[in-house]
Amino acid sequence: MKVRNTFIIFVVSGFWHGANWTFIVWGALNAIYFLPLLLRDKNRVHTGDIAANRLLPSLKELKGMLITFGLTVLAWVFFRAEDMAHAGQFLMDLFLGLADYMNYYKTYRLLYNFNPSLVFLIIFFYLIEWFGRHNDFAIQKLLKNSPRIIRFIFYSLLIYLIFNFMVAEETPFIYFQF
Amino acid sequence: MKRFIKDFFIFSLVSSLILGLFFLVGFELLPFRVMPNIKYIGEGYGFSDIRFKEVDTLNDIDILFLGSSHAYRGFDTRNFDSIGFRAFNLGSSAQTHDETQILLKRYLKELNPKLVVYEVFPNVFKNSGIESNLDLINNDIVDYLNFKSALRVNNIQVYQTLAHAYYKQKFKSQNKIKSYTRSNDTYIKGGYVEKAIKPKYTHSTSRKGWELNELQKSSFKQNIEMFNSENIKYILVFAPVSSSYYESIDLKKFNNFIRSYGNYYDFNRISNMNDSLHFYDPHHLTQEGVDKFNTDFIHILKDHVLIK
Repeated sequence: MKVRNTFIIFVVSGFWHGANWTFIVWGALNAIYFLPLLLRDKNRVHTGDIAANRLLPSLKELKGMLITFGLTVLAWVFFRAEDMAHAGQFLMDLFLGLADYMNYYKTYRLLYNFNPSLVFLIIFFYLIEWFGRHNDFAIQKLLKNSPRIIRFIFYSLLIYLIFNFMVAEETPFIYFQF
Repeated sequence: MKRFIKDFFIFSLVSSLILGLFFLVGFELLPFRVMPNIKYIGEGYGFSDIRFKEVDTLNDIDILFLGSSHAYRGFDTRNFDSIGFRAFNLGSSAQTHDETQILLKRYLKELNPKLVVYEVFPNVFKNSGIESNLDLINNDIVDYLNFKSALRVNNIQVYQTLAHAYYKQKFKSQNKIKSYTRSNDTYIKGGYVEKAIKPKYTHSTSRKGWELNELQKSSFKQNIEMFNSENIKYILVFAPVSSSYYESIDLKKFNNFIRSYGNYYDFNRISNMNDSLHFYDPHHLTQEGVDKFNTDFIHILKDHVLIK
């Protein structure tokens, strides 16, 4: 009963995003991810904070985080794909592409041209999320005991980052047309 | 509630100052690649930097050309100089009617033209105006007209580029012109840009239709009103495009709209252009095409719009 209901919830959630098989597979995958815990009746075990009274997670926790992240991102392939064929091609390239040495060169080129500020942003927001993980929202109580000016500077920095990196309306430069 | 309003007010004030400081530090210290919303064009594709410097030195001309690249790549000012007309081409890349209006407010009185040739290109009427705003901000002076235009366009890239350009204008020295030739293009005194490229037949695959952006429509209308109020003679011109491109436009709708604003000359019906000889892309003329178009234009000018 529990398994059936879980599947119904996730598949309907997927279908809610759009009438496409990709969303249904995305929902079903998330339901499948729950199966090991459901079948062992452990689905309500891991509900507390991770690394509750520590600065860093244990190796076991880190492994759990990486597996969860990996599985979630894998399901997102279906969520973002145009159709099932597109998702299938993406996954084929992702795993079978490891055998093609040219892909390593392409990856190197991509990393070479990677905007360094994005690395800074990713690290910055990971840190905020990590230190604010006990709250519903990461920055909710992050600087609660800090002087007002420090909080103001921090909030202003967040606003600056939003302005600086927000994606404006897609404006393909049309100089070459005009 | 009272405390919330007070805190909100204090935060708004302090964060505005801190934000300003962050932006200043960014402008001064950070490379453009980490400020993706600042579109610094520098030596622009359409030579706007040189054109806007040259226009500052002129007054009392005979013919002023306005419009998009079809103006600054379509009206060769040498062809007009050679028959005694003092002409200047103030066209710029993807110039929208909103941008034209800024240029008119800045330069029309000084230039005091006897005739304005206002090039009208269908796609410009549906343009949001972001690109042309960025071009103007980067290559001309920044004044309150840019701020008003930025508010109308309301785009984060325009706001940030404007802030950066204003900072540059206030605290940095102006860029020196490095070259009058860029890629295949050469800037000709008078605002024209000559392209040294062979003709190429390209079939346009544009979808049939024509759309009208309300901002461009209202700016276009105001520009026409400006000519009328200043008693400046003007004509509206659709420069030649390839036949496949021309067929993709909803001509009935477009021509009816333009005609209602003044004397309109569609050179696609006047000039007999050859798609294989006179174009290097679906809607830009080669130098041979420009010379042919200008010859036809000068005939019309002398026969119907004579100003001398």
